[in-house]
Amino acid sequence: MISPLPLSADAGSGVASAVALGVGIAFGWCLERSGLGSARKLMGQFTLTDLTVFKVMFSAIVTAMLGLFWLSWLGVVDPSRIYVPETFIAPQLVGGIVFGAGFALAGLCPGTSCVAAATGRLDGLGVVGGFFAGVLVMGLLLPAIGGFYASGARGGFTLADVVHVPQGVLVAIVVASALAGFDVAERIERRTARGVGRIGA
Amino acid sequence: MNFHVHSGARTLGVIAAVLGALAAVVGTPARFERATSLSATDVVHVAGRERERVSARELAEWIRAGTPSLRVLDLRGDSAFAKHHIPSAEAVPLSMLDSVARAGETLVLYSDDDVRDALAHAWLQASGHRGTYVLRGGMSAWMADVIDPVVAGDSAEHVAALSRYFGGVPRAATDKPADEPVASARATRRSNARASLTPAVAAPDEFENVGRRGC
Repeated sequence: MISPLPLSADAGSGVASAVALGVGIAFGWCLERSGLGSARKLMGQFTLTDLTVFKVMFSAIVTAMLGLFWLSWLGVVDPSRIYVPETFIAPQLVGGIVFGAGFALAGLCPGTSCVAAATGRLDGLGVVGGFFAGVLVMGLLLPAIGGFYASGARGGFTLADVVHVPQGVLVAIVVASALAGFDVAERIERRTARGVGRIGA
Repeated sequence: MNFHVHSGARTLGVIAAVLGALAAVVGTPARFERATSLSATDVVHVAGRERERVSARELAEWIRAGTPSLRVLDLRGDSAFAKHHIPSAEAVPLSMLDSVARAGETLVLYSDDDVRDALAHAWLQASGHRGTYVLRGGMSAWMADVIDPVVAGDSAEHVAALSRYFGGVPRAATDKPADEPVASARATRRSNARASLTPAVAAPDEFENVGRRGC
């Protein structure tokens, strides 16, 4: 068993920071190479002209899911040591709405805004400043809204815990959904491109 | 399915489809079945169980009695452990706790951080470890109740003997504030007692040495 790596502060913050930095750089590089550092490309998701965000994110989900499943099966990864974030339905619903509204308005989410800022895009810098301001405001408001923030705790659970099917079946369903989704996304992109072409002509 | 994508993406899609189909055949790997999840509610629930907490003097009794399968785990980090720690304790990073603990052992966890204790305790409980206790008050309680105890009443002699076993310096509750030379001498003795704890941590025969030095 070699993974997940014991990268807490106890294990040596220098090593943990170096690994985190390497993973962060790799993640940023992949986002940039996928074109997700551009707000125009991300906005294509909302106008259905460019579904790269959907395809990149769903590819990442499928890759991670297959990797985690098979590496666990091979005994390389111990899934019991992977943190499962807790669910707070109402607070997370509100957070999702705020996040979605910010994403649609700015054309960037936190990760892609960092990539955009790192490549010198002013809109990326603006969004990075915005979310730091949001963090500050949230911190200041926390004493007033702390009750709601921590309300409805449902504990940490996974999709398999909810639907009660074997992990492997769930993996197969998600992979099949992703492949079907990619095909549908391609068709939508072609259709909207033809529509734009006709309008342009 | 008609993928209008280039051949590299098509190949990756085929690989994903094959791995996904095989996953359905495999079902659930054994490791997923014993996957552990931990919520804040679990931590609060476990932290509230008073019966799974042990006092510093109870722990001292257990160690002195040589309780079978007892392991004392220090969660404070290497630097704090190096300064002083409870005899027989092992320094264990929180991240390694699950792999260090073995079934059938009586584990006593301590640090100087209630949240850290509660997290570690809840994690071990969720991982299926039973017989896990948290030292009430952590290292501070050990120092106050075992190493520097104020003794009084019927149990005074017993508490004093227990303290001396671990190199402590018990004080009578009726002691008046000491004058400067006496206080200085007492501080030196306590300092020596603390210092003696560090090397005297590994083996039972070394406990005997601590006890003799304390007497």
